[in-house]
Amino acid sequence: MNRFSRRAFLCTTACASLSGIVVPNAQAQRRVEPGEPDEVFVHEARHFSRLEDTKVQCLLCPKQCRVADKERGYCGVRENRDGTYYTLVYGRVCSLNVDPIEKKPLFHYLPGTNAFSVATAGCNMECKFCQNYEISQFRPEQVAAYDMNHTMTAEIAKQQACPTIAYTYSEPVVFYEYMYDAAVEGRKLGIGSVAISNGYIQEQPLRELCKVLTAIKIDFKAFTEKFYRETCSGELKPVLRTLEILKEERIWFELVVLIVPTLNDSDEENKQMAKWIHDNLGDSVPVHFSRYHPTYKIRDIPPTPVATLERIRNHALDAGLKYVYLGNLPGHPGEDTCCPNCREVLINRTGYQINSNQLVNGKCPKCATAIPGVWKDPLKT
Amino acid sequence: MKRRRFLKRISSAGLVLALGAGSARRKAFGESAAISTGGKSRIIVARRPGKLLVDGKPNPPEISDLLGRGICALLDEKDCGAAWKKLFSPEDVVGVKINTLGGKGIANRPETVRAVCEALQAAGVPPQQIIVWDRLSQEMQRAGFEIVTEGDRPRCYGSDALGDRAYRRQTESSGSIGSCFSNILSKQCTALINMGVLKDHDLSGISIAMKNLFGVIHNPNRYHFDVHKDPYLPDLAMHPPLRQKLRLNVIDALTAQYHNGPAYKAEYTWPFEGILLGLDLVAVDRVGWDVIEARRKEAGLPSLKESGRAPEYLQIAEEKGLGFADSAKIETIEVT
Ligand code: SF4
Repeated sequence: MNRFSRRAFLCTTACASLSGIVVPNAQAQRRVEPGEPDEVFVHEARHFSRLEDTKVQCLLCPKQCRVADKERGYCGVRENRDGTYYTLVYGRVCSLNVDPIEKKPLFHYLPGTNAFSVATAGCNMECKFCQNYEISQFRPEQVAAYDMNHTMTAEIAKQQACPTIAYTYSEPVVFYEYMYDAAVEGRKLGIGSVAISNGYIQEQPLRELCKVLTAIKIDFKAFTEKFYRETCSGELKPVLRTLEILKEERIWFELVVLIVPTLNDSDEENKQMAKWIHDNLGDSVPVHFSRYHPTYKIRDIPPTPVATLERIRNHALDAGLKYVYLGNLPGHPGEDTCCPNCREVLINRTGYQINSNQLVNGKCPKCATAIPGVWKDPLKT
Repeated sequence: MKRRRFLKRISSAGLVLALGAGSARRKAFGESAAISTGGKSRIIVARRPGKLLVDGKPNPPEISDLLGRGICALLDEKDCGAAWKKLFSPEDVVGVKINTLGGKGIANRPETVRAVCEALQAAGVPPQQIIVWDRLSQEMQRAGFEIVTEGDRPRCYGSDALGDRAYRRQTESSGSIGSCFSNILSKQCTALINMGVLKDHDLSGISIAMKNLFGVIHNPNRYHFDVHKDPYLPDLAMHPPLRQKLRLNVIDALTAQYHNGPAYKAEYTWPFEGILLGLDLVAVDRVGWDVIEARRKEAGLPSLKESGRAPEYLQIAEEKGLGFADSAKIETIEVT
């Protein structure tokens, strides 16, 4: 009997997820309370090298942590045990929900479908405005979780009739092995996989990941090293490289920029960013400018004014980007997908809800302009 | 005892106990940088080579006796009960923060911790109001500690035993640090004994007193980069609730490690057979650093400075007024 069938049990009623959203009829797995150690989740990591004196160097993200025996890397979910590096979160799923794909947000990827969304604890950055800090900024043993390995993940996604698994909420780069294997399992069942990531990852693991994912959304934090360094404990340059690689790999991707007043909302910065996107990634990559709300370590800056977001969106449109959206503003026309040729509203949205979708085979019904995106399930022929 | 019942009981008990804190002693010692006579910080290096360890095993009577002599020397008291009473009252809930990451090889010895707990009890602190703790119960067990959550004995468990109440959910800032603090420190204890070990550390240079306090926050891995020269450790120790509660540093140096820490590496340990005591945790680190450097020299290893990981945070700590890093400002007393 495998671990799935041994441990899983079918909920007779609706099963509440750890983050409070109800997943109807989901298969609830063994729950692991904070503080309960569990070796089931400990798997040898990929992408590390062994150094002298039982030290290791992680090669997964640009932090490239050098980690002594018994210590963990910056993300807190990888541990050196006697000269071998391990992930501590393989299948240690602390958040799971069925979400509209629009929530990720991915607007040009199977609109109106659901994504079975999973996360483990941990992140390789520390954004002071993190909306999910209660999982991303904690260690695995500090948050409750379900035991849900890669096979179970794919099976439950299928059971939930989700065409997609989304690795989201925290930072999937730090649960790379689980994400990768679940994506492979998903493919076997005809289920795609999307990563919702900060893009802070090294080239080799990224290129390997692109082979098994079907789309990626990158949180593009800002266009200055200062913001990345001071507000996110990261770096801009590696993220720019990630975006170039995604284009080279020809995987579908979209960008989200959370605009935080006074920190990354200047006209100059956002014009430069829009120009860089246009010149390096093309005019068709969807870009979502999102409204920030005070949380975590930034509580003294009020939410982003709508006018600021509209101004920044206009700069991006002026730079030639064709699909520029506004996020966290339910009901705003900036949520809609319009034909860049005839301006016809093609997909009308309110928040995560699709009100109407006029696309015909990925084209504008009025002028037949092809709209880039993944409009048909990529794993179904 | 059922886990949920345990969680409920220790969280409510901790709250009640914490309200009756021994404020007089906090005023006397907590806020100062623990300055000794002559404006210097007094640090006790208590050693009994050949006696604290017998056939590699701790010798409890010798440990207790030496600890008593050490605390008397530190506080200029003849009677060790009186010395402990200077720092702790029967109303206190005393947290004893130990360091068990290194497992049995290089962690606090249960015998040394027991000697501290017995001294506290002799000074009138009820056993139920003593909490021996570290981050993880499992690590404590691996280091030889028995998890105790009830009865007439000192409590002994990791922060993680509090389940989802292990850490405060809101971050608290202190300079460069922004972390959630263990509720054992925040809600259960009124006083803290910082009971580190004496060892080399790959990133901070040394792990003695100040580094041990990383175990009170939820996200120490965030501060490991260049921690030997960054202000993280001083900023953490400056955090007012921590600073107010920290009354004493007792370093368990029966076995010490001079290279390749923080994990236990038998080839780099030696039987130091000592206990370091001090009110000033910066000065404790300074003295311990010198001990480690001397041993590295004997072993033909480069100094921590030459290795690029000298604990420069000690100087930062002194500049912040936390204590003394300058040996000229430290009065080291050897006790045998
Ligand atoms: S994935 Fe984690 S351990 Fe690896 S380099 Fe990044 S932060 Fe460090």
